Amino acid sequence: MNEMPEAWYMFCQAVETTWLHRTMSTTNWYFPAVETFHHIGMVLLVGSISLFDLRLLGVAMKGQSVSRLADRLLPTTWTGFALMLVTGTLLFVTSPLSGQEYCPNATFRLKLVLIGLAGLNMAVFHFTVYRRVGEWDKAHSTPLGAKLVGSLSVILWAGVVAAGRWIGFS
Amino acid sequence: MEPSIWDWIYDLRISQMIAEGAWQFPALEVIHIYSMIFLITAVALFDLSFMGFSVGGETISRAAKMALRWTWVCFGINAVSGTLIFMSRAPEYAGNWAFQLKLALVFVGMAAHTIILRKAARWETAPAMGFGSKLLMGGISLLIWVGVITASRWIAYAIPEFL
Repeated sequence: MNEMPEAWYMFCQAVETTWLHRTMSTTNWYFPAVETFHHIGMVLLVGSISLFDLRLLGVAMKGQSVSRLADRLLPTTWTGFALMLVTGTLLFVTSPLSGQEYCPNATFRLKLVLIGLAGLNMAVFHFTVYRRVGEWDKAHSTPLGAKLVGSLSVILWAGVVAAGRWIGFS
Repeated sequence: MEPSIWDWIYDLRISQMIAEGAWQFPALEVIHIYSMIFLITAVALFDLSFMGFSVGGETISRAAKMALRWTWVCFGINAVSGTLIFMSRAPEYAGNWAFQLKLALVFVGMAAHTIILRKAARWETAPAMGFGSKLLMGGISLLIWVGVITASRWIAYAIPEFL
């Protein structure tokens, strides 16, 4: 077990006193049921983002309008994200310090950092390369910036999936 | 009791390597899950096209060709990683009802798609079928894959110690 910052430890202790923690941790099938929805959310989120990344990289959906694809995929991406956020919070609340022990788990924190970086990558894309999407909307070959963002996104989300799976083994 | 075929598989050197290694099992799981995301995404894209909600504006035959290529590559990766994961815990998995259910659902899902996708790759336009029937067929397919995810997640819990 590694050192936890004081504020983080106090927050985790506070979580253990909540009603949600008691509810989640006293019925044994709640956890796998929530995990199932977490996985469905993952397929929606990572699947839709990866498809867009593959278009940016020129691997799939070649020649399809990038902006149209973005518009069509975003509702799925956000649905997946919302589902993951809600179910992920429930999983975390179940055992911050007891059971799975998410709080002292370094892989869990790595996963959160990777999600943050993936979000940052998307924000950067949105405010830079995507601003001039009109110029390359239907082009088979996308600008270098778009390819960079796409590659980073693939790597970061693969990292999130890997870290997520690794939490239980570290 | 006589040792079963599952014990024999479990005793193979490769199975033992995965079972006893520190990183082999989770690494295989990561590969398995990551390729599963792409497999289901490819299948879902075709299903949506079939139901009339094409995501990228592609034609149904193009969606079918794309799905056919991606599903089989991803399925291959899934099958290999899944077999290795199974070997490392063969006796437990073989008798696990969630695992058996998952296998059955994957078989039905892949069989149905292989038949439909190969036909659809030759379609000029979508088949003349009522919207309701298309919705039902696409919906059943999507539900099968949601079932696969659900059954997968329950494998670890479908054990006497848990229930």
